[in-house]
Amino acid sequence: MSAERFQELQSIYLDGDPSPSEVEELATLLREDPTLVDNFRQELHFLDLMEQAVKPERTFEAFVNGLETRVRAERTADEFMSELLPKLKAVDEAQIAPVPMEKVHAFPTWQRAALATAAAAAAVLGALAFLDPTSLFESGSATVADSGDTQPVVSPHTSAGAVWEWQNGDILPVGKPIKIESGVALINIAPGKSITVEGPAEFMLKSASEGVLLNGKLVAQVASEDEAFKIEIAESPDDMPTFKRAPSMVIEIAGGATGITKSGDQIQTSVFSQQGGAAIEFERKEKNLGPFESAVARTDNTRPQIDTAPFDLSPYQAHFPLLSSVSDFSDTVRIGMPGVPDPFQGQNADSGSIKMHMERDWGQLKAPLLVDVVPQKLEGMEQISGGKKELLAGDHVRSYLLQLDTLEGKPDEEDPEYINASITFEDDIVGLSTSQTTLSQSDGLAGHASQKIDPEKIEIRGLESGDEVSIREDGRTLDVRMKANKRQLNGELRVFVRSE
Amino acid sequence: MLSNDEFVELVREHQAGLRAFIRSLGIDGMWVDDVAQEALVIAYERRDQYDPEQPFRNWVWGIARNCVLNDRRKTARRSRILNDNVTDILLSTSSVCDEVEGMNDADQQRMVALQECLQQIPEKSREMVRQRYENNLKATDLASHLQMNAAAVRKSLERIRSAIRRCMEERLAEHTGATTELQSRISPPKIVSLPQE
Repeated sequence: MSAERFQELQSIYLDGDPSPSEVEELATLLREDPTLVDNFRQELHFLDLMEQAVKPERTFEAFVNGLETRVRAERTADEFMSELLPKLKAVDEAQIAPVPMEKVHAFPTWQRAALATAAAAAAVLGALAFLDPTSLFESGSATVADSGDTQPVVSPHTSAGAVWEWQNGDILPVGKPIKIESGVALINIAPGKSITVEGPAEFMLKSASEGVLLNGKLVAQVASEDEAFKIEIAESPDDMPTFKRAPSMVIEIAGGATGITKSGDQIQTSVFSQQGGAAIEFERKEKNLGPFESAVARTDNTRPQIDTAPFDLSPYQAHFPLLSSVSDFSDTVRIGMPGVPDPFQGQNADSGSIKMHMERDWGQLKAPLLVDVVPQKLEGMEQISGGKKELLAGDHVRSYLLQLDTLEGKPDEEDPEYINASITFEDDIVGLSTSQTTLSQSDGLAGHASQKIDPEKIEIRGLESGDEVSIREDGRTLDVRMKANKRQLNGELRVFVRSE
Repeated sequence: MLSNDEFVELVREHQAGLRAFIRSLGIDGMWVDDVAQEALVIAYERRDQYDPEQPFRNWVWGIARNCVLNDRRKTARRSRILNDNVTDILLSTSSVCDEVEGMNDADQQRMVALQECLQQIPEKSREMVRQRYENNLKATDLASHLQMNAAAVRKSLERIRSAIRRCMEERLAEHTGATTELQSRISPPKIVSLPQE
């Protein structure tokens, strides 16, 4: 064994996509030479710290939120919920001045959304200042001074690492795009008006009371007495809908809210937006509950990311019937905008043993999506394995969920039967999710609202050893051979195909 | 028994290191926080068993280690372990008293230093870090973006990590003993020498 080989394997393990044989080789080397283990352990340790430092889903805040959910799931003592977690999340309230919302009704829908989310923008910044011991707003940035319709003037204020050309004292131009490369700029438009723009973004002031968001993300914060402030959102260059992760929201549940998801929960959501409309979704997890009657989602931005998806934040409700006496349940809830065509139209094709759900019939990935396999090349009946395991941000995909049910009553050990299927999709297959992990992770983005997962089968999602999946050389036809037995109650497979 | 306030403070202080410790046992990055949360819930439920004479860190680390051991014994379909053999080795050679290089510094302080050092690396390196660790792009994907080969990308990432670690060590050495935690939080970033790309 050479040191170089160990370094190479370790490097592949840490940053690459190791094959099973490479991992086994690494394990062998570690076993043979214990002096290598400490180094390897340190690398793993540091790798995790790096992820905690840069990955939004691994921030301290996200971790505590997860802990909160876990505590509820475990039904730990109420005192934990009532005393400890608020302390963990404690923010210096004195620095937070939410925007009163009484006058919001005077604005068009999308402005209400911006204003509503703005109410929590200060909380975001305060929370971050708490979570990140370094000051969030440590560099100078811009304030647009406003005295009626006078020229907006930059004055000293703060920003969160905004990379842009403006300095304190500059005059922000009217009628010219203001570009923010990255970071978040908090621009105060005195008195009582401010906007928070997250780069990359372009924003244009039309006057001290009017602006246009050309692209990117923006939250407006306006005092209740100031009704003249207006921000427009430039029209999308095309009608292609997008979907992405969004700020967490607070869910309010009416009825038998006895599950894990409770009223007041802050939950991760996804936003599906499209010119003229949008929808949100969130994952609901319940345990030992009866049905609850309805859920209302409203934004309550607690994250640095902000979003301008044009929601109507006046409460809109959807009823989500649940199975009674369910012991454990996980589902994706989606709420569409009033008056907007359902962006989640789908269909089920049930062959008896195979149910195929057409989940999302459009979509552009805003972030890489983890899948189990991505076909590298499609030749003959090549078994797909290995290869890259992410669909790239920007890819347009359509998703299908195959539920491959057991053949009822067949013996599980001897003389197993197989479910064989050949399914031809309308375009090239670009990725497959075949494991519990990737299925669960992609449920939020790709899952269909009508998709029902038997709670007893949740823990055995995905394919098992012995199941075979291959793609024909046309790149579109999937051949599935599933071992049917009593243990495998419900094999699942998510298929992503290209969507142009 | 630990009071709630004490428990909260200890969680805040040690959560980053706890998660990194769990990762160093070969747990899949996607499941590290899950295991850490599991360990903390158990710790809270058993806080009356905690001996205040012993470091809280070791106690919770031990609980987390047992969580990983339990996972290793399971044959459940859902596995939080990347590779059984690798985890077996890491478990068999670790103890909760292990001090990984520099790990005796407060985890919180280490994270502060890390954040500061990330701001100091060259823009190209920062972008690579962002793509790799925030967007989760693997070396092969990064290679196609950067028109490099995957091995070169991995080498670059290795160098960047080394540079950041050196930077952290310098910062932690500066803070040791002389500054309060609060002071270390509000200290302006110091420019340190890092290798250019």
